[in-house]
Amino acid sequence: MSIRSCSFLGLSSFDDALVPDDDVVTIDLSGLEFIDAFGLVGLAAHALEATLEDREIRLRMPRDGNAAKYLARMHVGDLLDGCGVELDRSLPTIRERDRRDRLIELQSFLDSRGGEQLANYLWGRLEGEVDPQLVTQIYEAAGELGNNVIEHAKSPAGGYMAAQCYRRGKPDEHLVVAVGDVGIGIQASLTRRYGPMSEADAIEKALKPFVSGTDDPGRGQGLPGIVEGVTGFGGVVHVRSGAAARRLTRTSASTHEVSHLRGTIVGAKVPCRPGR
Amino acid sequence: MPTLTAPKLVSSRNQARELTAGLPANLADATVVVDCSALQASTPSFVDELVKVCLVERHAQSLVLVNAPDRTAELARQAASNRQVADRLEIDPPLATR
Repeated sequence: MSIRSCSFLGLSSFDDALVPDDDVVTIDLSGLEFIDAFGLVGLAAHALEATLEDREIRLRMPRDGNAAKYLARMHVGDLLDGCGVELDRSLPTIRERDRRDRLIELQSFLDSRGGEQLANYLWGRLEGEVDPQLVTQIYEAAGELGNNVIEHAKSPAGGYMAAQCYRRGKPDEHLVVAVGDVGIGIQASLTRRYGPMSEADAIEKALKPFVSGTDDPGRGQGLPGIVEGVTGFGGVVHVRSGAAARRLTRTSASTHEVSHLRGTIVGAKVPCRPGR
Repeated sequence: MPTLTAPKLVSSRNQARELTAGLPANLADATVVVDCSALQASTPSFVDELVKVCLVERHAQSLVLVNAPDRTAELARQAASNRQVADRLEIDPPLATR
């Protein structure tokens, strides 16, 4: 797969940006103007997949200077260095200000500490700022996303995560958080226990309580809890695994085919001031 | 009576394992008390692992969560019910009296 040029790469558009590649994997960010946390994690998963397959990767940097600076600020350079990506020009050098109150940069994690770190960051960022029940739900969601990667994904490169608050202080302030991996995917995780099923069926099944690839009866609460918590506050959850994706809101849920990407990415967009 | 103190935030199953690491392998005649006074948030996975380790794997006579937030207490009740050990879980003070 390659990533075609588009102005927005994120929760609602990443799946459409993946296109079949030729001999070389191309990540074309030349037209990029905005990328959110889901787009960053998707970018990481895509680059890692190509690296694991020993594919050559070429990346076209954004023409938009602000978009290029944002990639640098979110530490995309670390990812590209690790994957041996060939750039058409360098990421800009930026002077980094401490923005821990607004974002968590794209970063990898190899053990449960990563999920703990993400959950703790979000708690610290939102505590006292938004509805306490919402803070609790987001904390649980982030923690469970990290747990899923470490316990179920069997990802050779661990997981990637990113988060950012947008429109801070505005009535439509919202948070986008995403966690992804290049592991076996939900279908393979569930098939061992439940038998063969399509990738779309696997995602739908994984979102039901107490469905788990393990035989432990207490497992299988993570993803359903995330969906219940996030959509209950008017947010959106997007789960993609393999060649299927499911999008859920408080009032709708739809599953559709997407271009194949190894592993699983789960993202959530949550309003920080629901009901206002 | 082993008493554990839960930290402010707990999210992973590994944290439940770490919290209970110092407990004896066999808790058959013991009541495990977890002081949750400082606890502010926990995930379903953490709470399930705590219940599993104390009541299922190490067979504690009972597990008492003291001053647990409502959400944590509810998660513990669900986890104990799922694992069919609800009769050995105590929430102090009980959810119904809050």
